[in-house]
Amino acid sequence: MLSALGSQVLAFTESAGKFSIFTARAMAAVVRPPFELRELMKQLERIGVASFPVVAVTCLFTGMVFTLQTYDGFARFQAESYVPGILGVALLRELAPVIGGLMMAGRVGSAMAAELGTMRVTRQIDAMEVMATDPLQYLVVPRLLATVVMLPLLIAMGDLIGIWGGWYLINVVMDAPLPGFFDRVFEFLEPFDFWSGMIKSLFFGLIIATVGCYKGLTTRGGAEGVGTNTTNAVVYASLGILVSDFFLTRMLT
Amino acid sequence: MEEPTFVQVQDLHKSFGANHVLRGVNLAVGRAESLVILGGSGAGKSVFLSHLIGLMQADRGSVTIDGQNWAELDRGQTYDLRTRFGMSFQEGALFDSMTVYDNIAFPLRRQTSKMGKGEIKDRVAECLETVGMPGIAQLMPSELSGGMRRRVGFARAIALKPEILLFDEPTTGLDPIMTTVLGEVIIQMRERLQATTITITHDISSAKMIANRVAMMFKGELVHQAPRDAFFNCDDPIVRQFVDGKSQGPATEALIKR
Ligand SMILES: Nc1ncnc2c1ncn2[C@@H]1O[C@H](COP(=O)(O)OP(=O)(O)O)[C@@H](O)[C@H]1O
Ligand SMILES: [Mg+2]
Repeated sequence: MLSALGSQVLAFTESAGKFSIFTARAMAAVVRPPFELRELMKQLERIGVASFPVVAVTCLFTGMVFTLQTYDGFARFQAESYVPGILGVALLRELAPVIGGLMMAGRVGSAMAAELGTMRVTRQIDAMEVMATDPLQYLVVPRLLATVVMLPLLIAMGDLIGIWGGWYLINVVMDAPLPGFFDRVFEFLEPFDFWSGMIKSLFFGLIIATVGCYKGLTTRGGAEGVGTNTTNAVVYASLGILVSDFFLTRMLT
Repeated sequence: MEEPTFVQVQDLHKSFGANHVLRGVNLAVGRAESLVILGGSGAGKSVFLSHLIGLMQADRGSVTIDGQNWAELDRGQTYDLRTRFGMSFQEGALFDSMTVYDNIAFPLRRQTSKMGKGEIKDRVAECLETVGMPGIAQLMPSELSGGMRRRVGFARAIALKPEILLFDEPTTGLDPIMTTVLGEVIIQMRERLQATTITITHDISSAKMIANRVAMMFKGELVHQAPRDAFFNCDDPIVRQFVDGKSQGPATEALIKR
């Protein structure tokens, strides 16, 4: 029993160490030529543009649900006029980065793990190595950069969509006009509310891409290995987002 | 002084956990030689090729190519040395997100001395012609049969006209005609380009055709190495059983155990 636990702890520490080394090597590869611009463009398109609908819908409904809940609560002491400001802060600082990030872990992190994992078990990664191409530079760096650039952009658009969702809910769905909704949002917000959400998104993008690529490249054992590693990529990236969100929030408040 | 042997392997050992796969391999291959490695499945042939091209690092012993020991090279030197290699994988290992054209053009585009677009196009066409599949450049690997994929892998390996070529079962699953065609290509690579070729195969007739020298891998060692004619006429019981394809003999036990 105890020894099983011990070996699990050991295995965990070992993979945590390997993951840190992988992350450091990936960072070093970012600034080392050659730069794979074609691959980067491809990933910007696949990760950024193609993910927009998912993030948009997620933020739209998050904004509406949050508005519904706070409106209901604030109405008990006639404080409905604070709803727009609270919505803005909650969405920009917390809801859009975290929920959007979790959706992206499911969409993008899993795709990376599955794609690179399949390439690993069918020896395409070895073939690349043989043709004097570093998979870290050719495969990992474009995915990493694309995610780190695109996630904040997507979340920034999600912020706007979520706020619009709140407006739509109150003014159209509930038919309880709240004049100057957007003015109230932007009067209440400070620039730092926005930037703290952007910093979070950037970190979450880093977590999604490094975990997804690491899990992909370390895949062993055929189709089954691809399956478990893909699942693990999503689980670990999501946990990473939720845990690091706590520490980032402590630093950014 | 004599220059060092082109490919020099000394006392190479490799284990995966408790599975001791390579148990002291020794080999020397000169320039423009054609070595064929025979051996049962699971004997460690593919693992051995991975060591020759520096994809795996030895637990013990050394692999030296043209005087350069893989274990002593840094990242840049490793990739530089690999540009002198071509390899076709047993699994094919085509990039399945790219067309056949882009697969074969990949090593051409990756090399340091840039080739023009036109040159690359000509070379890809030439390579596809060589393996008997002109006009399939725009297909995706998933649209090809297993044998066709293997031939594209072969074309990709020879695209750069490398100095040293490693073929892992290039003809397994191909029809006899294509097997002979690829055998002839391997011979041409050696005769025209002075390339060193190391080929793993189960096919005795193509081994007889392409080899200068033959080695037998058995239980993680190269147990018998000899020039072609001497090899096929020797009376080492392991070699005889393999070459004659007999079910009873000293090699059977090792194969069934796995
Ligand atoms: N990457 C690996 N990890 C663990 N074991 C491996 C790996 N590659 C090969 N092996 C093991 O090494 C042995 C030899 O494999 P291989 O060289 O592929 O045989 P073959 O002679 O048929 O090409 C097998 O027992 C296989 O399970
Ligand atoms: Mg093999």
